[in-house]
Amino acid sequence: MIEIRNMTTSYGRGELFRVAGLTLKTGEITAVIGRNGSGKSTLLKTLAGFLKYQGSITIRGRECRDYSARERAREIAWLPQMLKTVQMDVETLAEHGRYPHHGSTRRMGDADREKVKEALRMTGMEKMAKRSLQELSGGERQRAYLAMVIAQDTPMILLDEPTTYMDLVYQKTFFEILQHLKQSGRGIVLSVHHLEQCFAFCDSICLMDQRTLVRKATPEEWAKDTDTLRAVFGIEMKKTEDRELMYPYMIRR
Amino acid sequence: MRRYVTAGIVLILAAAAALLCGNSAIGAGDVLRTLAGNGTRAQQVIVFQVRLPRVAAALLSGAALSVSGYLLQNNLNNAVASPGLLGINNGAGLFVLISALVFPYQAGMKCVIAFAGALAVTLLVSLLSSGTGLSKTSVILSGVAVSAVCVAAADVIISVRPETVADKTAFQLGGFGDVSLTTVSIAAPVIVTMLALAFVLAGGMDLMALGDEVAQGLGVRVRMYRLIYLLCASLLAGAAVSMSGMIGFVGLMVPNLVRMVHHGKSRGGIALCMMVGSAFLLLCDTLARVIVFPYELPCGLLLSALGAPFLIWMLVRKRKRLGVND
Amino acid sequence: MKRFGKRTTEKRNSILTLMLILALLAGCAAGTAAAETAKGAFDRVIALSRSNAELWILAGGKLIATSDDAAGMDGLNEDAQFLGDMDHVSLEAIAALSPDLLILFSTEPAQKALGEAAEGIGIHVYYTNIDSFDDYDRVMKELTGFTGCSGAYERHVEQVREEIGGILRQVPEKAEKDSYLLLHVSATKSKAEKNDYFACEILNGLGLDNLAGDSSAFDVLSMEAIVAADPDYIFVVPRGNEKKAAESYEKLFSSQPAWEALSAVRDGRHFLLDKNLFGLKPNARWAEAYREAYDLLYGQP
Repeated sequence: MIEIRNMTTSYGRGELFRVAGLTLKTGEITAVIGRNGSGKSTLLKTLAGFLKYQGSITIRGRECRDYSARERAREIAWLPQMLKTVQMDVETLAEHGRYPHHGSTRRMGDADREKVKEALRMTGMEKMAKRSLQELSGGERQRAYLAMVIAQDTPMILLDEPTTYMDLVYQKTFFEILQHLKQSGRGIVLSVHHLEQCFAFCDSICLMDQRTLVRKATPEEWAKDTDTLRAVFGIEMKKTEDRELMYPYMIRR
Repeated sequence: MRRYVTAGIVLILAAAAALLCGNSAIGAGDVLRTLAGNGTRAQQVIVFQVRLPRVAAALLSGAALSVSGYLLQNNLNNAVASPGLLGINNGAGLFVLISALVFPYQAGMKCVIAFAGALAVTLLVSLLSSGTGLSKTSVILSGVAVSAVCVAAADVIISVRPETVADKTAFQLGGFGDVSLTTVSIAAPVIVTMLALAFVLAGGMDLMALGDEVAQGLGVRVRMYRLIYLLCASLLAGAAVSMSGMIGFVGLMVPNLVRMVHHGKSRGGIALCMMVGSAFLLLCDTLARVIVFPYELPCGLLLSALGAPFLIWMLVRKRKRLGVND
Repeated sequence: MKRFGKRTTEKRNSILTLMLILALLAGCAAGTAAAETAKGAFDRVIALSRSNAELWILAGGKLIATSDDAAGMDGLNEDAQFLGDMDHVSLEAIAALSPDLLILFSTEPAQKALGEAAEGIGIHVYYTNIDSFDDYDRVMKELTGFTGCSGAYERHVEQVREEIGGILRQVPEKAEKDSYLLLHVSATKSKAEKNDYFACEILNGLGLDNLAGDSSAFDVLSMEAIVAADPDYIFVVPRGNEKKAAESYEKLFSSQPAWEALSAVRDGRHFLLDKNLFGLKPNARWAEAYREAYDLLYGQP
């Protein structure tokens, strides 16, 4: 669980980024939405420990800045938006996810290998385990990195716009994987642009605007709080009753 | 696996050739006999005080420069990064030139001073680029800038004191002709330790290849690792250069060759670089020693003459196979 | 008809122009030749480098200016100006003195460039390139031709030649010549001098055999080759500051342990030679150089 209290950080041009209070729990999928430049990435990066902050961010009760790099990497996994294409096969990439647990000098044990296999299975990449990243499509590459992050076996996973290059089928599979992870007790925080998607699949949604957190609420609560959404996006979300729709929440002008 | 074995065999052959080949001075049989303990005084001197240190120096230098280049290229994500690019060669050269003015005939000093020069340049480059958190671009740019300053400073010294030009040329051409047990015994411990360090920390390098952000997410202290790799690369190159003068091409060529055939983990890449680099430098030094006996050719000359066509051939071959230009 | 007439005029004009150009060229050539053969025509002479300055002084001339390294040289007239380092004198500094002769090395790139520029503004340049006593002889003949001091030629060349001849006649005959190496040494490099070096001409003349005596252009001898050949003598000529050279001379041989195995080093048959006689051209002291080398080799122990 991650708790934020009166946190500020300055990023880039010296403008402040503020979050008064936020709790992110395991066993939940939380979306972070907002317009470009509203601070979505900043929030995730600060949580992941990349940015210096004032105030308090506690991970399982302990202050984030008190964690060493590897300790923190055992609590929180993080994937940035830009993923590099390197000359590496999928399996090796997934194995790197075990680094925070055994470091540079120790070798992988059987337990580690099990986790890697499980991660590859979960993301459907086991058949492509020996393929090089350079041969994969954008969506497959994102899934390979996801496997790495799953193998990292952390209570919380932070993903920055993970579905950018995925086609519809992959996206659907992706959210199924997230559900799976949620059920096994992990917490996921991801930033998304696709409003219908996050309303359909996420347990709670944080709205960022002008470098601060506006509100965290469930999709139902957001559907009722039309003013805030309208103020930021100029739209509202309305739930439909049609159970056959992939995205039950729809955008209303 | 086969690659390692091949490289290993090539290395052993190169080392044997370096040790046994000579010319009219001393034959292969004489060398073997001398190693066994029987040999004339002159033969003993040649084998133990001239050839063995020289073979050791070429072996160590080849490994050190290749691994140094590998570390830099991987770390800075740039295929043309090499110790020379970061100014290590020119920094060492400048210091040697200065030492030639201040301590003219102290040969042992040259080794230590070249080493100090390499280290000073690296620290300066790290300092200059620390403002941006040792980002790759700023490290490269700082290296290029510092290198240019060292070259300019050396030129100023030469124009003010023209008698030092012979020293500069000698250092720049590079070669193992002046190697003695003293120089090897100063450089060897540094090289061996740094190679071991590079080997041990190679895992971190694989992670950093994924990008600074992903690496940090996995718990790698990117900035610290980058500094360690830089220092390691610089100490390796500095120690090599202190024995042989400026030999630039190995650090550029060997890692690229190795990366063309080896796509796996960095640890394997480092091992291959060590073997291929040593073998290649041994080969070039042996040729430099033997071709125009009793004179010597500058080793650096042969390196470029042999290495460049080989690199080009590998590039062409690789392009044909993949069918793409990447 | 008009056109034909125009063409004839053009043709005539071209021929006239051509004749004019030829006449000018001939005049220039004649003028230069006249300048070369006129004796005592050079009153304002600048020589750059100690060696060149010395040559002109020995030939009986006076200098209006020279380079800094000639400071304190014997025979230099007191009113001579100093223009700086011999490779870094500017053309303006030279032109400002309106010299009629400039004496330079032909083998120094910086001086060669300066010479070409000087010739371009009409200053006569004389190039020296001395690799042997015969070269010195020829240069002195020409320079004394300019100054008109034939007595200088007798004193500084003919008598020296006789002295050298006398020394050479005393050189003992040996069935097998002793071998030597002449090393020109600076802080980081030692270069073996080949037979085209003037000091080697001296040593060869005194009955020795240069180990580096082949005609190739290479000069970095392999240590193995030296150990295997084990020269009978090793001569060292220092570059740079002589005091430092004398202090550090011994360190040269201890820097590379293989040196100590050489019999020449063990038996003390290695010598540090005077830079002024064996590093720079000795000019009028050429016989002195022969004498010194002779004493080292055959003199009293």
